[in-house]
Amino acid sequence: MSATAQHTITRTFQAPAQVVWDVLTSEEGINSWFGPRGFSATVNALDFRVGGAFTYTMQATDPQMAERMSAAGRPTSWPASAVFTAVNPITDFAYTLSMPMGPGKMVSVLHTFSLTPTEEGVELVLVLDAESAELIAPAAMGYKSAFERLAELVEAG
Amino acid sequence: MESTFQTLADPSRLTLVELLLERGPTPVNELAEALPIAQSGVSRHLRILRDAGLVKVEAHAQQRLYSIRPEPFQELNRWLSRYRQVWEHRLDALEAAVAAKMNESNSEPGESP
Repeated sequence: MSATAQHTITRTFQAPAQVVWDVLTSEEGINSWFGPRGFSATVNALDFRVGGAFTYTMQATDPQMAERMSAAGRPTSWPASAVFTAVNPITDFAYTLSMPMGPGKMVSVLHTFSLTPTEEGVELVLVLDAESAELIAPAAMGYKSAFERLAELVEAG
Repeated sequence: MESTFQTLADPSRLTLVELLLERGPTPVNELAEALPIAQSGVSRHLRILRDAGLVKVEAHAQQRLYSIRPEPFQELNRWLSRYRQVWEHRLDALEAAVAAKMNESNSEPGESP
């Protein structure tokens, strides 16, 4: 079973498009802002062209978060691997990323970023286009579900 | 099984999903009237949509009514709402990083107007 969904986020920056673009797309810039709250992100590869790889490692930095994730059988650090599908400097770029949605279920998310100059500075529009898909082994991306861990323990016992 | 993108990439199937979203449960003959293809073609597309879990069919009196299965859409939308929060936080951090860059370049000697 699969389905699609879409969300759009818009932000206005009081800065020239070039400055926003550089912070948004450079390795140094991404390392400074990409980690969500309680996590850090480190860029491993940034081949900024269509078909090029964007890989990074996420790491839980908040001790409570790390503890909760360990308790749920999830690693506190994991690699993520995306592929650029569009690269047009200073105006737009896009990449697809596969992420686990639950045991045995993956989501492929197309992230599209567009920058449009405005009177104030520049407007960033981010569109998240998600499609769920089953049957892809979560272990293939270094993620093991709690169910799989449980199965291993049962088999080992 | 085809992915949803593949399933909905076909214009006839996308139209069928849009019609069902608009009209609610609908019999195949009414769906066929809205499409410029034969009813057998419409039936084939409906079967593909059912196999993909996007559409269901229920018997009602003498009719078989087709409708959207909301579960896969709802589940994915809930997941995407949570992922959207991740991005809201990231963009907060991006705003701070851009502001820091602007301050940095403003304070460089000889660069201010």
